[in-house]
Amino acid sequence: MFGLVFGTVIGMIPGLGPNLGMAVVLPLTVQIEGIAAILLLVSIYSGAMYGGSVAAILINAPGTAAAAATTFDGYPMSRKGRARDALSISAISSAFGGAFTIVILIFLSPVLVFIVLLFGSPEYFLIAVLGLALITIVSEGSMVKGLTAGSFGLLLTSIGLPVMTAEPRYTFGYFTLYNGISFVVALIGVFAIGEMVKLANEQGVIAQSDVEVEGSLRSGAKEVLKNPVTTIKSALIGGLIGAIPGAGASISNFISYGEAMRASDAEDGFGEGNPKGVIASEAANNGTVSGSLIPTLSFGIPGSGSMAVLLGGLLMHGIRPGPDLFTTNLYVTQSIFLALLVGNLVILVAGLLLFTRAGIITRIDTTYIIPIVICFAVLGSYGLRNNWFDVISVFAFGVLGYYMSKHDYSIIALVLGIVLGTIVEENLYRSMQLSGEVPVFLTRPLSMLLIVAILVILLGPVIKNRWGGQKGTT
Amino acid sequence: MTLTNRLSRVSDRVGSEQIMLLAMLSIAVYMFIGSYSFSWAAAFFPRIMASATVLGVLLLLFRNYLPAALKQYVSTSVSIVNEDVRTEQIEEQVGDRSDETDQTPEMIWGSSPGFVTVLLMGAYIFGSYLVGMLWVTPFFVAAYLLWFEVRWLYVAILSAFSFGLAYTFMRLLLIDIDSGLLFDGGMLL
Repeated sequence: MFGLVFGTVIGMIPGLGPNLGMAVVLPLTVQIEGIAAILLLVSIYSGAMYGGSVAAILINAPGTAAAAATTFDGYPMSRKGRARDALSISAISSAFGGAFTIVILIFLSPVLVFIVLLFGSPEYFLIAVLGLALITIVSEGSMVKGLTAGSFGLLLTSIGLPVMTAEPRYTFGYFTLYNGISFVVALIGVFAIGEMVKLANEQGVIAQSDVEVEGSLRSGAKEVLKNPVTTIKSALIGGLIGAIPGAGASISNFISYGEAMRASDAEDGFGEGNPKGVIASEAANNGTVSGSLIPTLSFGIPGSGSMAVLLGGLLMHGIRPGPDLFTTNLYVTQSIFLALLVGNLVILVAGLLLFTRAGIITRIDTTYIIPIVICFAVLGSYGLRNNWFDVISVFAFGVLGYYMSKHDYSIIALVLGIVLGTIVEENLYRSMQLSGEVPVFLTRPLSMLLIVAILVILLGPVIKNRWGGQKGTT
Repeated sequence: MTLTNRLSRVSDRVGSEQIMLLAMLSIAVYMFIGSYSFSWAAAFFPRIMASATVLGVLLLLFRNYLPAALKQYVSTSVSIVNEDVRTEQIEEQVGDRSDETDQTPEMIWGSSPGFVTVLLMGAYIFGSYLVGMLWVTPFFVAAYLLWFEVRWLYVAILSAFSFGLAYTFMRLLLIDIDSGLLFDGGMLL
């Protein structure tokens, strides 16, 4: 419950977002039990997905990137005196989108177990590389920038003691460095400090005038019930896109909105306050939460930045993604699904009764929040392992994350590299030990398939450009 | 060419992106060379990743001097999302909040809010190391808010809140942040 409320509030304040909320809370979860910590993080994520829509509807500034498409029709509805309608549509669509996709995921779990059990060390290594490659084509910036960021993240995990030998690397004789760079510190630095520096440059509050919240909750609820096809389709789009590593809700809400436009009549007035626009965006972004759990829990490949933080939380509490989460540790997975299911019902109730009256939160000046978040980040980073190296690291990652983001380098790729580095090295080393005269990657069908997929992604833009050039000259 | 002109030409070409890439290159080269002092099992991974990083950084640093086809591959975004739809509509309806994305290199080192934030954060960390995070935290918050000309009442409230936050962290996570290099929780060392 705390996670949902905290996440919703975080999502409502433009400039913050689930990545930051989860990252600053992560060090505090050390003191609580593993399952409770994971449920807290998932609830924050789910709450933030809904919370972003409140700012989008009331002040035309999405609280999170996942609610960007909600502004297209949500704010016009607000301008027409139907803010409460839009907020209730958002709450109901979000709750339905999230609950529907979770139910589907529960039914798909046996199939997922079967697929996951086919994966061995070579496949785990290749799926990590595939995840990194995929991120570079779903985020802004060139592929080379994304791959460089990912490689750099993987490189940094070399510091400390490797898994397979006891030989310290790049420690300069300092015992503190034997444990290497904490991925939690990297997450806090990039998502919290980096974002605060960016926000400091942007400054101020988005809403400059009082927000009138008028309209009817019942009318909004009726709109959702009148559009079941749009709601279900959008939830499914969100779930499918969420399953693509690196995609996330920032993409799914646009694609879902685009699809709703395409499927509607020309006179439907999208962009002028059509409730279908709000339904499409909100059902998709909460549906993404469930979808992004698939690669995260199955293969340890985060579907988004928030999933990267969740993955960090799983690893921090000794829960390793993979087949164990669907066999020995099935209770962890079931707890997460149940928490999301219940959480979506709470979003519905709280959204309809509480957050429709909480517009003032969207007007909080970020100047007040920035130093507090920085304190959270610095205190949390020191609290992780009680050493100053982590504090200096969080500062360095914050600055690095800011400049990477500024110049369109994928910070998700950097974070993914750092989170997965140890797993990647371990699986690569094991694969090389398994290899005989022929590398093991070339003797396993699933590995070959993954290699082909990676090559298609990496070479796709080159082929596409050449193809487009040849078509232009004929 | 005078020294001033040469320095001016260098500063025109070397922006924050180039500095960031040079830093990454330095780290990657160092780690690549350092890997030769490890055994094979410990060296192979950092060597591979350092090589990939060096290659990527060099391509990006010298992208303007690459053949046209390679330059396009290095420079062009290949995002599968229709960026035109996303960016145009966002910029129309929300407005471009970011004023710093096209700033010149000179502006980075001026008194931009982001630079001040980083500076204050550095001072916060250094001060915490000397005196203890518990005592420095409210001063950092106060300094930040005062620089941005926030009202005194809010400065006082948020500074007190931040002290409470630091105290909560100290009790919850059992960390000794009430002492530093020069100060031992009440006694100067």
